[in-house]
Amino acid sequence: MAEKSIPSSRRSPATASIVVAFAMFVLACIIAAIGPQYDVTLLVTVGLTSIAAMGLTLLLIAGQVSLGQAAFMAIGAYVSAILARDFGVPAFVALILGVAASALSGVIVGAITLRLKGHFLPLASLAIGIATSAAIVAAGGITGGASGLGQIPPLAIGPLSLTDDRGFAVVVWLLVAVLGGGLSRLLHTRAGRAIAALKTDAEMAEIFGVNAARLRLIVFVVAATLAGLSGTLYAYYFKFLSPAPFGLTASINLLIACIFGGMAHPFGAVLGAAAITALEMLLQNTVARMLGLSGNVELIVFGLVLICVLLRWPGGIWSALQRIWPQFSAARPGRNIELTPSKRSTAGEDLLTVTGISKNFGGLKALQGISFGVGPDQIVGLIGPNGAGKSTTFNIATGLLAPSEGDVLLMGEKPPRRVSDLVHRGVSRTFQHVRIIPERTVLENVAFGAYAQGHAGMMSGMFGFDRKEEAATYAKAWRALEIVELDGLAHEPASRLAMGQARLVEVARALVSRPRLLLLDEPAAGLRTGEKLKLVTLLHRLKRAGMSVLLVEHDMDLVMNCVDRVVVLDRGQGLMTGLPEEVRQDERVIAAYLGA
Amino acid sequence: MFDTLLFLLVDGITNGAVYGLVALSLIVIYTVTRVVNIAQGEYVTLGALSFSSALSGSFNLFSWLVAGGLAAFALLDLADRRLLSSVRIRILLIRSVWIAGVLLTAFAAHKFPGSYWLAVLAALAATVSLGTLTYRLTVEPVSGASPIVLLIVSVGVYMVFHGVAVLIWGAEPQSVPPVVDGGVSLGPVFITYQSLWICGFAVLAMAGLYMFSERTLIGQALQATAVNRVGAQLCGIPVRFAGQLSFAIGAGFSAVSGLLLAPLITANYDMGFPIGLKGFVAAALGGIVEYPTALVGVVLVGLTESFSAFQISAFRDVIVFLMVIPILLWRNAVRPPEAHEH
Repeated sequence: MAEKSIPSSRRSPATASIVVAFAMFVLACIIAAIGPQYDVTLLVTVGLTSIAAMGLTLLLIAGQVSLGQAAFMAIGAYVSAILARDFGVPAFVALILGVAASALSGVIVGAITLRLKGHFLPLASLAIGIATSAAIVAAGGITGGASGLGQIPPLAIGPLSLTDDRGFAVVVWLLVAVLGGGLSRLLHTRAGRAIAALKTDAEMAEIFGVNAARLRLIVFVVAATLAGLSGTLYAYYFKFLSPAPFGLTASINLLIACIFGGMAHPFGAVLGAAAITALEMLLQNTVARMLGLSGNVELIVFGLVLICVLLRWPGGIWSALQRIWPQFSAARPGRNIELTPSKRSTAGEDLLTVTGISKNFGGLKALQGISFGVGPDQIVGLIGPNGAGKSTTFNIATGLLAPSEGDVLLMGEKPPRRVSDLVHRGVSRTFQHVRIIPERTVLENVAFGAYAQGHAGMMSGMFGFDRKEEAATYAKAWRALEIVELDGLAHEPASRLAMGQARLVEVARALVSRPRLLLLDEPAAGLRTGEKLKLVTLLHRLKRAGMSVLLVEHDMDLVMNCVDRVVVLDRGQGLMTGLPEEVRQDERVIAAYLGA
Repeated sequence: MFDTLLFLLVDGITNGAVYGLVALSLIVIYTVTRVVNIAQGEYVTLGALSFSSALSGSFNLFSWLVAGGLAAFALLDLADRRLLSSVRIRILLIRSVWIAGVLLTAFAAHKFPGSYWLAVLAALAATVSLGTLTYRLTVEPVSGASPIVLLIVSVGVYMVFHGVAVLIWGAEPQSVPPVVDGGVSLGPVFITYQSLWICGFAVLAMAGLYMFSERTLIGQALQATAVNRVGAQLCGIPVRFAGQLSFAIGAGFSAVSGLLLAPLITANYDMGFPIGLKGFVAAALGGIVEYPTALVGVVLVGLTESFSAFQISAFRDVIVFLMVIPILLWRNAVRPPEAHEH
C-alpha cells in the first residue's frame, strides 16, 4: 500500500490542474480562432456558465446548497449594464462595480441566511432567487422589465475595447482556466481542508480553529462574486439583458451543471457546463433536424440522459474520470520533527481547573459540585458509569457548555468565548463519535489539525503562495502519523478506515495542533487489545513530551494503567478523586460500578 | 371594501388549499425519502390532463404508458435474483392486478364517457402508479446518494414528465368541468361549489393523512422511516415500500388538487410548475416536515398572494417569496431542523 500510494511529485493534482487548465484554454483559443460564429457564442456561454457553476461547486464542497445562484448573476449583470448604459460609467469600472454589487449582496444574503440549518438554507436561496427575478420584472422603470434592457456598451478599458466576439471568448476562457486551476489547487490547501471539514462537521472544524460562521460566509461571498463576474460578462457579451436567463431555471441549470459534471471538483463544473451544452446541441441536431421531432422530445431525452447518468454515477461525470486523476500526496520529509506543545507550561500552574461546577438541564441536575484539576505533565482519567455526567463535564471543560454554577479555568483563564479560540489556548480534543473528513486522505485529515498554526488564505491557496507553510504542515502531519503508527495508511481515503484506526487518526490530528492539554473522549472504544496497549504507550510518550491529558474512558484497565489521577463521577456527583490504587480499592467506586 | 376583503379571503383560502395539498405531497415525500421533488407540480398537471381525457372518453395513452412502465417495473423486480420464487410469484400477482386496475379504470372511463367519478378513478390510478414507478426507477437505485443528487434527478424527471405531457396532450388548454356547477352566495360574495370542494378535500386529505400516520401500522412505519431510515430498516420496516407509498400518496394528493383546480383556471401542460413552486413555499413555511404548521403556511401563502395581487400586482411574487425568509429564520431559531441529513 505504502509504495503504491506515494506517486512521484510530477503527477500531483496541482500539476494536473495546471495542465488541464492550460489545455482548456488552448482548446478554447483554437475554437475561438477557427470556429464559426455560432460556436464562438456557444463557447462564451459555456465559459460563463462554468465560472458561475464553479462558485456553486465551492459552495457544495462546503456543504451548502443554493437554488438561487443565478440571482447573483442577475445583480452583477444589471448593475454593471445600467451603470454603463444610463449613467455613463466607463464599462470596465461598471464591470468591477457590478461584481462588487454581487459580492455585497452575497455578504448581506449570507449574513441573514447562513445561520439557517439543514434544508432551510436551500429553501431560502430558492425564495431569494425567485424574488430577485420577480423584482427585476416588477421594477421595469429601471431594468426594462420583462421586455429587457438593450444597447449595453461594449467592454472597454480606456481606448482598448473588446468588441470582437472571438477576443471576448479568449478572455472568458482565460478566466475559466485561471479560476478553475486555482480552485482546483485550493482543494488541497489549508483553506480547502477547512472548507471540507466544514461540510463534515462544523463543530469539529471549530475545535481546530476554524471560525465556521466566517468561513461559511466567505465561501458564500466567493460563490456570489463568481456568479456576479459571470453575469457582468454576460451583459457585455450579449449587450442585451432580460430577466429570463437569470430565473429559477438558470439557477437549476447551474446546479445541473455542477452535479452532472461532478460536485467534488471545480473542473466538474466546467465539464458539466460543456457536457450539457454539447448534449443540447447534439439533441437539436439529431432529434430536431434529422428525425424532425419537436422540442419536447429533446427535453424528454435530455431528462432521461440526466437521470441515467446520475443513476450510473451519482458523483457525476467527474467521478467516472477520477480514476485517472492523480491522487493527492505530500512528500514525506527526511528529517524528524518533534511535535512538542507550542508552549511549555510553567511549573505548578494547573492547565485545567474545575471548581464546584453544576449543570442543570431544565429540572434535571446533570452535575452537582464537581471539582478537579489537570496539572502539568499529568494524565487524569475521568471515569464513571453511563449517565454519570462525563460528557457534560467534558463539554463544560472545553467551553461548549456553560456551567450553571462554578468556574472553569483553562490555562488560568476563563474558557474563550468562541470554540475556535480553544486551540490557540493550547487545547485540543478527539470525539466520542469519530469526526473525520471521509472523502479526504488520512494525511490530509491529520494535516487539517495544523489549521490554527497556518495563515495562508484562499488567495494564496489558489495561486500557490503557501508552499512553505504547506510543506511544514505536511511534515508535522507525517510525524504525527508516525507517532500513532499509521504512516502506512497516509494516502488511504479516511472513509476506508476501521474504527480503531479512525480514532488514532483523530489523536494524530489533535497532536498536529500541538496542544498543551489534550482531551480524549473515549479513545479506546472500538480499539482491539493490541491497539489499546499502543494507546497506553502513546499516552506515556505524550506525557514525557510535556503534554497533559484528560481522558474520559470506560475501559478501567486502560485508565488504571496510564493515569496519574482518577476522578470518579456517579450520577452527576463527584464520588472521589485519587490515585489509581486508591480508587481501585474504594468501596463506593466498586459499588457504583458493580451496582451493589 | 368589506366585499373585496371577503372575496380576497375566499380566493386566498382556495389557492391556499391547493398549495397545501402540494405542500403535503412534498412533505410526505421529503420526510420519507429525502427527495426535494422538483417534479411535484407535474403530478398536478398530469392529474388534470389525464382526468380531462378520461372524461372525454378518448383513448387514454397516458394510462397505457403507465401500465407499460408498471410491466417493466415488474420485470425489474422479477429479475432480482435475491428474491425467493414464492416472493416472485406474489410480486407477479400483485403487479398483474395493479396493471389490470390501471387499464380497467382507463377502459371503463373510455366506455362511459362523461362519468365524473370513473374519470377521477382512472386519472388517479394512473398518476398514483406513476408516482410509485418514479420512485422505483429513479430514487431507489440511488437512495444512498446525497439529497442534492436526488434533487437533480428529480429535475430530470420533471423534464421527462413535462415533455411527455406536451406530446400526449399538446400545448392547447383542455376544458375540465367542475364537480358541481354553480355556487352559493355568502352575503355579497359568490363562492363556487368547486372552491368548497377544494377546501373540503384539502381538509379531509390532511385529516386522513394525520389519522393514517397516527392510527395505522403502515402509517407509523412511514413516520418511523421519516425520522430515521436506518433505524426503521433495522426494525424490519421495508424502506423501499415506505418510499413507494410516500410517492404514491404525494402523486395522488397532487393529482386530485390538479383536477379540482382545473375548472377554476385552465388545464394545460404548464399549470403545474408554478403551483409546485408555491407548494414549496408553503411547505417551507411549515418547515417541510410538519403537517399542522404547513397548513398555516399554505393559508398564509394563498392570502398573501391574493391580497398583494389586489394591491401591487407587480411585486406580488417578490412579496410571496421574500416572506419565506423571516419565517424560516424564526423557525430556525425556535426549532432548527437536524443539521445532518442522510
